[in-house]
Amino acid sequence: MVRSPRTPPALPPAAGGTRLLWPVTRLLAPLAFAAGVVPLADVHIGAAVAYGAVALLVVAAMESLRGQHRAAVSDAARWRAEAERVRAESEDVRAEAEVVRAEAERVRAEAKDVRAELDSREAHWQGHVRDRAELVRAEVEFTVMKRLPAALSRTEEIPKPLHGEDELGPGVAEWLDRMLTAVTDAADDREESQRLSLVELASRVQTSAHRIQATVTGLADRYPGDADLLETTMLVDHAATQQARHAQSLKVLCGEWPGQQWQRPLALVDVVRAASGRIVAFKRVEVSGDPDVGVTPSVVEPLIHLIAELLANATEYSPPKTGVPVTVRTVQRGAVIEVDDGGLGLDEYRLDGAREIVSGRRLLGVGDVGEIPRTGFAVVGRFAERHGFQVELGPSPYGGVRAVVLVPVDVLQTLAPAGTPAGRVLPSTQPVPEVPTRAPAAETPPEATAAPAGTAPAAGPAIPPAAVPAPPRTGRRLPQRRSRRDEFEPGAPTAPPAPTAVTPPGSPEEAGDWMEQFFEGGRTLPPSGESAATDSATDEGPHDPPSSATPLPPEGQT
Amino acid sequence: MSGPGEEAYADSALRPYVITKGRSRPTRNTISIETLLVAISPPRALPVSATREERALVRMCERLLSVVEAAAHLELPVSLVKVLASDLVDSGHLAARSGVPQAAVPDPQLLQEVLDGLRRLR
Repeated sequence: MVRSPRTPPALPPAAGGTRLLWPVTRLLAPLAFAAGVVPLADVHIGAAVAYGAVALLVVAAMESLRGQHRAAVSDAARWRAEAERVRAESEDVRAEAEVVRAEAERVRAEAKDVRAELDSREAHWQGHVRDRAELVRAEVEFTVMKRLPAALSRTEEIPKPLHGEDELGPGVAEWLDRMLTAVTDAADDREESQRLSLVELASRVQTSAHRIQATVTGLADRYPGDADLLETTMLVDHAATQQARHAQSLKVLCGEWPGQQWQRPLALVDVVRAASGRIVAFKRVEVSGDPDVGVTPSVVEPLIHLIAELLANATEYSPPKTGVPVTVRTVQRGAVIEVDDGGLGLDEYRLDGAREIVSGRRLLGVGDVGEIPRTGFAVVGRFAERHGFQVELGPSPYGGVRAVVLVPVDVLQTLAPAGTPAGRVLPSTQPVPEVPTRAPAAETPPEATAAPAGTAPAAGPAIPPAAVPAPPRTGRRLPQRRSRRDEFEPGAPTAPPAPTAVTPPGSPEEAGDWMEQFFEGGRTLPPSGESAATDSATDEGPHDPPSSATPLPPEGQT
Repeated sequence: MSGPGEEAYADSALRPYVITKGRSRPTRNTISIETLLVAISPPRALPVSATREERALVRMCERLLSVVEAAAHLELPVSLVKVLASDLVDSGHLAARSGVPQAAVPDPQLLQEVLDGLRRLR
């Protein structure tokens, strides 16, 4: 290859020239030699022979040289061709490399395009993902901050999700909704089970408190003369009453209502006193007002508990030595109980909050009350809401808070004045004594007059049959006493005597009449003044009750 | 909620310590179960703060009544009525007569006759 650039230009012209020149030379040389031989042969044969030999050698050497030359030339040509081929080949390779380079260039450019395309797509995709993640995040935040509390409160309406299915991706909104449902369901289950166990435990506490009360009351009744024992039983009774109240508060806050019901109407002043018995400082409660306005049995217990909570609040938040005045008055729409305390009162903001609670406009459950005072107000509100009592709070002229409870007129009941036979609502075993004073002359059957008294219908069946015949004879006062004795003696010694033996004869008036008569008779013996009947009483005064002789004097007197 | 204790408790919403304002002893020790009570006449008005029990007691004692009978009518334990009655005696609304007057004590001979008669009945 190295010599290839030199050889090609020299060879073709030389070849053409030498090819023609050489046969001429080969022809001319022997001729020249021959020409030389002839003269020499003339001179000397020997010289001619030698000359001829030399000439032959020269020719032979020339031939040999030519042969060598020819070989060298063909060799050179071959090499040249080879070089040519190689050069051509290398040319091809170069061209090919060029093509390859171009191709590579193109591919590279293409790759760049693709990368740019990919980059832009990547950027777009990332932007999309970021946007969607942001939407989902916002939706989850909204769910946690707004929708979940609303769902757990169970009173507010749950707001709609911010974004729809298409924005958030399939299933996200649905799963968020399912999460809300799952959380509220779990909370509900838990709350219900807590509520049930609280109610159950509170009921047990209340029952045991009532058992304590019953036990100590029975103990005091069994030893009536023991003042120390009575005092102790009072202390125990007081503690147990408060315990029962707290247990009942818990039940009320759990949405249960007191199962306890009273059988008789109770005067409002006594409702307040009964309520005062359920708080610590019952001696500080000072009740005044109309003693003959009462409430129907169905609201006695709720009202007692409601007032007790107000009194507890009033005594707790006023100076320990001060009284808590409570006033009962009748108004056009019912009756009002006012509880004043001489404490510091509440500022307007807290008063507003308390108003919402006590009026029942905002009902608190057991999970909502944190502290002791709010328990009381929450209980008040629950009772107010259920039974239609209107409870209002305001500043009191005594400096603290005045609580005003309006008892609606439809649960009010006018009681007969205290001490009159109808006023004392009598126990079920003794419904008849109302008869004599209500209708002394009319001799009406006891059922007819007892029915309006309210408690009598329920008590009616409880009257022992043996006690029934007695009432018709109570039209007059003293004969009733006699008749009971009469009946007692011949009557069979069966169960009926039990109530009659315990209960006194009829009304206090009858007993008083008899007693008065007894003493009048005994004392007025010497003067023997006013009535003609005294002479019959003089002798038999002491033992006249069993006899039928004495009915006359009282009739004469009355 | 109707345990055995409940019924016994249901006898009164007004607890005894409320009725006596926490006191277990009467202010005077002369009042016993057989003491006779009578309202002072002419009747004195009770204070407005008087309880229904006090009003009832004064009213039913317009005629002579023993403490134990008053307790039965009021459906209160005798020991509580003693406290109430004692207060009312202090305040001048009731008078207490203790025991049965001598004049009213029956003749022993008569009692003997009654006893003999009863024995003959057997």
